[in-house]
Amino acid sequence: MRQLTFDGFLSKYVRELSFCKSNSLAKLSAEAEELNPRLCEPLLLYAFLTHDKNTIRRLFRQNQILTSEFNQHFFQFDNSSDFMSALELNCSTFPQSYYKVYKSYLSLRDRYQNDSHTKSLMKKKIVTLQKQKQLTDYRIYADLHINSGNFNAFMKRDCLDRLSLEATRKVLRYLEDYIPNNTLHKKQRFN
Amino acid sequence: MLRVNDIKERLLRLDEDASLLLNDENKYRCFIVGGGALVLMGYISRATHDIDVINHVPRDLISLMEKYDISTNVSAHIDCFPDDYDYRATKIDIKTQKIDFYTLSLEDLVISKLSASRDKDIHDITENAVLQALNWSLLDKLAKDIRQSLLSDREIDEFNGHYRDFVGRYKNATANF
Repeated sequence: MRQLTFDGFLSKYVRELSFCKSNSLAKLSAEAEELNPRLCEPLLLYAFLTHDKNTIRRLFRQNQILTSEFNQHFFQFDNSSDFMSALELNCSTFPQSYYKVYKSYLSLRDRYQNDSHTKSLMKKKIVTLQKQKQLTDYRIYADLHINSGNFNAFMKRDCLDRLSLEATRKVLRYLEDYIPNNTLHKKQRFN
Repeated sequence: MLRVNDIKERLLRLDEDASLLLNDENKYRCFIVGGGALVLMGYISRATHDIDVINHVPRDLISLMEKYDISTNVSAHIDCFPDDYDYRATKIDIKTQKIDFYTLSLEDLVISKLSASRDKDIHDITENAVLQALNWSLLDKLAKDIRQSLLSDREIDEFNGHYRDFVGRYKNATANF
């Protein structure tokens, strides 16, 4: 799967945040000045990463706030990679409001890693409960109709991507609810 | 971009991770503020990415919150919020295990935005739905409270200016809605 890039994120972000639902810098600049000040930070970031400095200055010249912010925080960078390094380092000269947009991007980009982290936390609990309640792997994957190969890879080889978050959640709930020798569980198992 | 259901989904994920990470029996409280709260309460419909919270949670959970783009930086500006905001907060209707989530009252949110005094904050609180739902007498009481918690004369003067302007411009206008 292709990784989400920061400019890809910003392109969607400014479009969704704007009333005009456009990626045109001229339209967004006009809107940010009068109607939608919330657009300023993502718009400046988007403009800097996708256009050259002269174009940006020309397009923003009607908007004093954008022009002054651009000159103050962006003009010093020669290229986007220097700029991205400063942003990644959470450079102190950069206002937090810009870093906040970057953090939103990171959170969206890393959402699959977040799923893995949640699954690893769940797995720890699953292993403990399985020991406590003395359930075999077979009992679990058969009762929950989970593919045995995927279940074994998840449990024995720590391949967290072999079970979805939803399936892992299902295993955990099953073990939490399981009462040894519970007839209701046995009935459910065969339904 | 986050809409109401996306915000709730993110809070549920945070709660799930918290319940897996923390083995204590405690239940924690977390107060959603800012634009995220207004979206959750249905007063504004714009999309938002980040969620700002005032938290009463252990340090372990702070890094977890950052993963879900839930910002706790607002706690550094706690003096922008009237005292006892927790008594007026409303519990969000989601079933959680470890963290109870609340939204601040509309009046507390408006006061906090007037204290922060940024253009984009003021913009959110001039939405028709917000103005119509405001309890103006409670707002007045909270404005008196916040003046006592603001630290400097400059902050108080700025707040007074914004508050007078907001009330003057919108209080009577809401009668005509």
